[in-house]
Amino acid sequence: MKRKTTLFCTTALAAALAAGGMTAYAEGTSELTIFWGSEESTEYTDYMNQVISEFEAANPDIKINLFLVSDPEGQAKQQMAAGGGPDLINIDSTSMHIFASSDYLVPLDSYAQQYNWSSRFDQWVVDSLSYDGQWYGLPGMMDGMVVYYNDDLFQENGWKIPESYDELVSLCQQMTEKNILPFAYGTSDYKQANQWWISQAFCAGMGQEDLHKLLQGELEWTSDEVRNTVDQLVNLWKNNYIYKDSAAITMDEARSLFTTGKAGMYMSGTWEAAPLDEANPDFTWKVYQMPSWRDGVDSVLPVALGGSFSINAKCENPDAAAKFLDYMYQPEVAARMLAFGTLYPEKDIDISAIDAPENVKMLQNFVDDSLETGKVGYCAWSYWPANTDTYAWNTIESICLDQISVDEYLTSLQENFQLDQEKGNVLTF
Amino acid sequence: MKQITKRKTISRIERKREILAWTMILPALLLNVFIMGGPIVGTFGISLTDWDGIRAPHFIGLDNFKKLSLDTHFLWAALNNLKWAVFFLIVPVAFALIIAGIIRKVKRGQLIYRTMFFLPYIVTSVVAAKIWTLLYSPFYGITAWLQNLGISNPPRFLADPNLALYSVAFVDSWRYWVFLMVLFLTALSQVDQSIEEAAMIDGANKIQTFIHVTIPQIRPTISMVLILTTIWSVTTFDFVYLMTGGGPGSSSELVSTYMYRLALQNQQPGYASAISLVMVLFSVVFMSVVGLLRKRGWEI
Repeated sequence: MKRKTTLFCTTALAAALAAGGMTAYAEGTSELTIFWGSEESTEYTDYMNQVISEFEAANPDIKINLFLVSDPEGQAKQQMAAGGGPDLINIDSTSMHIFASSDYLVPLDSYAQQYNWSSRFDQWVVDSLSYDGQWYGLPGMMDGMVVYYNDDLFQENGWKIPESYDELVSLCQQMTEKNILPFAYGTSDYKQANQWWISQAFCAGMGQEDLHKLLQGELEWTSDEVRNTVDQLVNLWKNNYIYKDSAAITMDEARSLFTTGKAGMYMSGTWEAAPLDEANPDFTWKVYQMPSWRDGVDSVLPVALGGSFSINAKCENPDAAAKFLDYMYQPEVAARMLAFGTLYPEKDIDISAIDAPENVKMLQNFVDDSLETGKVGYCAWSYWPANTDTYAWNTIESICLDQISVDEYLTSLQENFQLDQEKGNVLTF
Repeated sequence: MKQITKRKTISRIERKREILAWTMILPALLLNVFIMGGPIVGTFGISLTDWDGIRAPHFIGLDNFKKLSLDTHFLWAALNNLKWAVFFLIVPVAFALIIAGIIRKVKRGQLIYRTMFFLPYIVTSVVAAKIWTLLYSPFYGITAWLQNLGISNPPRFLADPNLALYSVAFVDSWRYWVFLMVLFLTALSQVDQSIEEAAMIDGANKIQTFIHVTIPQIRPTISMVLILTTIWSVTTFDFVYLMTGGGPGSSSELVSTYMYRLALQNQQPGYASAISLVMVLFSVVFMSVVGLLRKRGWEI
């Protein structure tokens, strides 16, 4: 009896496994892999899974495997260097250029034509995702750097939104006198957050034209324009206008400094709208664009593409990958990202028709307006070459702590930029 | 003639034994060659290139090593490793030795004490780092508590550039000393107690007996602990990476965190490989010196 039962169970198990296998790997099915950040918000990951389900339902011959990993870019980089890697690559646009220059990615021009992507995105997006005249990625999201402020506090104290660097410093002084920290800031869990202040400072201190020249190699990193900008940033930090102990607190703690009213302002990206709403502070928060820190230079909004999606050159079915990319960034699909606070740079997204928080819609309009007027600057993670960017955000704290001088910092930035030029990492835009 | 035959037989037996011994250790040896040797050779190869982790590498000879000799950030990190080593050779070693000496004398409930003290060691480094980061937080932790007590300028454990390295070293040693304590307890259990009793009868007090009679008997264990601690201080990484990432600025940067950053963030695995080889070289030279001194009769 026992033998018969065992035999029956074994046969049943084998049949079940065979059936399961046939279902999962039906003949002609293309499988695509994507690495997805395990630290992405639950809402964003749920959205991605939902998009995948919809796509798979409409395209039963394509299966998408989403792998949650802690560092999608780093792990993809290591696997690609070893000749493998996921089919769809989710990386920062600066890294995307390095991958493209090394033939690790599929040029997307033919797909762009097939799916008419050119009509969906502005030229700045296309330029940011092109290398050597060819298109290599679709934007993952859009970022803009703004200053969030406690409007109630501003009104109570009669504080005005600053319109120059001096007014900004004066505002910070007034806040400090009232025992309020001017700018909440924390980097202990993400040192790369230094990119945010660096991007903001360089856009405010140099303006669009000079920053463009700097990033194209037409202006030296040791020039007075850069020196003044770095001095201004360091001045804010050394005076504790930007929270001096930022290395000891996390980003969440910094946000809570702002939402609990201990800090009057919080300089961060447009991605903060949803977490700020979720924290439900007992005051109204608003945003302003950082004023210009230099006379005669217009204020600009630092913008970036927060990551991009490209196709691995080793992908066995790039057509299927392109088809998924096209679906993922259909205006009505991408628009759903706004519901959890992610902005997207697509022309045909109708914000008014989307069920998204009002603050998120306000920020999308805020960024769109700046893009329309052309008064935008260049965030480090989208426009700066890799070595220069990494050195800039890794070392800025050392100047503030007097571990290195501004001169040493600028000289090293220049050396890193030259290295980037030699390696072909400098973006042409 | 008989003697020659006998010698031949002995030599044949010895050779057989030798072959058998080599056969027995061969699997482990081969594993070591492939697992350790392969990466070391690969690292050495990469260190001679300008590889950025993505593009094809170019051979640049010893340029990375020349660059290393002029790299002030590397020297800064190496100096921090030295401070770390000095801290670890004194604080946890002394603490573990003293507590082991006391616990050894406890007759009742020794196991409870041992288990209690050993608890931090079973906490993983990630969890321990997170707990202590919260304890060090300027808002909820010790700093805030001291502020509430009316201390106007309490220590900023992870934010003060002069304190950050030692704050992290303290947390690592909070886990490490219990491991040392167990080693010392094991060694102390082997100590001949009659010599200690003789010393006491001769008039030595407990401290004198411990320093002059007990400690010399566990010298081999102490030497091993000091050697291991020195080598581990060169390669230490986890707590600094988890708690400060080398910051604020580069205040708590160690050679290993610098190497990690170069390899995975700065797109310079070629240069990072050169640094890792220097770390290996230090350990090899250190062990060779220790071996040489032992051969010359030093009791270490």
